[in-house]
Amino acid sequence: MTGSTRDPTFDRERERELFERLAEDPSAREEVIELHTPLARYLASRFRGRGETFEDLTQVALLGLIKAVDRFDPSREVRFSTYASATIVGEIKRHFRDRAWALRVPRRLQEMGLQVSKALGALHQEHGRSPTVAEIAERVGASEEEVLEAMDAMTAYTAESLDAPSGEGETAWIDRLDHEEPRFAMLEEWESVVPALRGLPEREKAILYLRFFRGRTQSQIAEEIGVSQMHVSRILAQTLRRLREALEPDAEV
Amino acid sequence: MHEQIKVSVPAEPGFVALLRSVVAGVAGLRGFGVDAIEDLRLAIGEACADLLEQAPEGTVLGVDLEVAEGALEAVVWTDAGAAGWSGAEAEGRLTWLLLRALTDEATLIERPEGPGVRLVKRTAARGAG
Repeated sequence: MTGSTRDPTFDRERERELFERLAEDPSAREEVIELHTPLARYLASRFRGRGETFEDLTQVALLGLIKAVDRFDPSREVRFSTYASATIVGEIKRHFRDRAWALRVPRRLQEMGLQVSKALGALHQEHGRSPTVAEIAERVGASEEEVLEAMDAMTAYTAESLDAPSGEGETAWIDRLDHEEPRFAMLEEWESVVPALRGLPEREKAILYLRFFRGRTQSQIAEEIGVSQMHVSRILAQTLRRLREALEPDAEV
Repeated sequence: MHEQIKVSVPAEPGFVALLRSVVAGVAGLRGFGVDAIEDLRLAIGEACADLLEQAPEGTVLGVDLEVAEGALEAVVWTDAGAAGWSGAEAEGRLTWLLLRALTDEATLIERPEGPGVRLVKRTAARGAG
């Protein structure tokens, strides 16, 4: 698998010999790395097409190889190539994990977002209206700028769980909606939108209905369904985007 | 208090989030409630999406904000030119139903430089739309 060996027995001997000299002889270390560079490149190539260049992946794989050289215990029965493979793949996977994480909301913003969300609900209860940014900032002990930043982040990043059913109680209040008298004029205006509406998940449909047919505010909806206002905001934004995409083909008259 | 804030960006979908954030930020700093801020955010997004359909690459998408006591006026505009733009057709579309529900005033403005959308949101929280 190293791609540089012809005689496995010799290789095994050579491997043992190299690792014995490793501590005091830098050239031995280099030789081990050189011998296994094709392995690193091969493993890197298996992760191609996931949004990283082959060059970057190779760098990560070589880093994994170097770690493997430094950690390998030659007294164990396992071959170095086997050990190195596991270390290199682990390094590549970790790289992807870290990158994905970095693309998400920074932790600082997540924490601030959580605080803002809590304060929002509490202040809404206390004042009976939607709180201002200044009021939230005072409550969480942050600047208005920080609150706005957190609100931005919470609105922009779509939670993965958006499409997941929202748990018990949901059916109950969707049923309740059906008994309310719809605003017929509004419904008529929405006629052209109805086919696109049909494709939406129940919860999205209901939130859209509450906001635009019933004229409820986002806070009221949030309270009614028992999610945060920011969540309602995200769902609305996403639903409108979906609607627009669904309507796009015949939007151009 | 009477302030003007103007931002313009390339007419590309990727810049819309930036405009939404700017408007939300201004509204937030000028005492609008969170509900109104989030409505504005959605409305700006809708207006931009609508105008972008008419705005070819290389044109500009902008928002001019005017904040006076108790009201925020946002004019979302493009410099894509008025050619091929039909206000009447645009009025009947989903975008306008949403814009009217999300703001206190939503009107289409036609200028020689290109179409625009004028939105007004007032701080006095109206109960239901």
